[in-house]
Amino acid sequence: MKYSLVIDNNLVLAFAELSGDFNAIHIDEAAARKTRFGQRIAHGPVPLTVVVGSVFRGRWPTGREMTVKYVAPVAIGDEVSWTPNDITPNKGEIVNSAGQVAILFEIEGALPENG
Amino acid sequence: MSTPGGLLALAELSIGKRFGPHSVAVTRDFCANWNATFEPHATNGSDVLGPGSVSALILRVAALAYGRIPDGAILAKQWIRWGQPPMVDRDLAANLTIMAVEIKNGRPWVTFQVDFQQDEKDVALVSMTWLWPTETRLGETR
Repeated sequence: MKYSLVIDNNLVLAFAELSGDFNAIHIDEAAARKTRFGQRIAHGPVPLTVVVGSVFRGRWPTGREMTVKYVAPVAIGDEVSWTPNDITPNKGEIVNSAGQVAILFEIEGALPENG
Repeated sequence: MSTPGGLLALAELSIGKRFGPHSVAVTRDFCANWNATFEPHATNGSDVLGPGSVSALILRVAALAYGRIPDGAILAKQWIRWGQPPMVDRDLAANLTIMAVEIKNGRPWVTFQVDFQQDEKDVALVSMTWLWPTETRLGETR
């Protein structure tokens, strides 16, 4: 099974509102064009929600730990996805629509059964 | 010394410096909005906060502690340990601690950690490592 999420403008604006992070790189197109990315990018935790949401399904994972490495930015409009791996179920990577790794993650502790 | 934008200067982010406790409200509106937007797989509604929300809450604490994340800062790493689930419509007490300030290849890296508690129980411990801008104005740091 593969989980996907389109990182649209509404998600980025919603995260800005909920986190209070209105950094120009996320919300100001003109300012973002002047950066090395050349465009707005999502807050790192936004694409991460495709994993947190599908693994924990809203259940607060008491006692579990998650380590995340943000490897590459995710642009507005990009579709990210991750595919659970049966061999290393606690580790994974989120890739963008070009197949590039954007986020690496590892969860410590037994994963809950989905469903 | 603060920057003109009200942000703390990099030099002020000394290791071990602690900000707080700050009070962070977990309202039903916040809960409902977070769950509906970012954790729609769940059916939590507004009564149970989704676990991914700690990534937004830590940024709220950062804003309370020292203004906001400066323009040009790039999030590189994050670590989360979840404790007891928080009660909704109650405040969290949050402390932010500067854990590391390192210069690598001439660029500053800042790690801070926030502990969230409610009724003296650990709700979450979250750290973030940022490539910190040497200037706070976007476009001058690249």
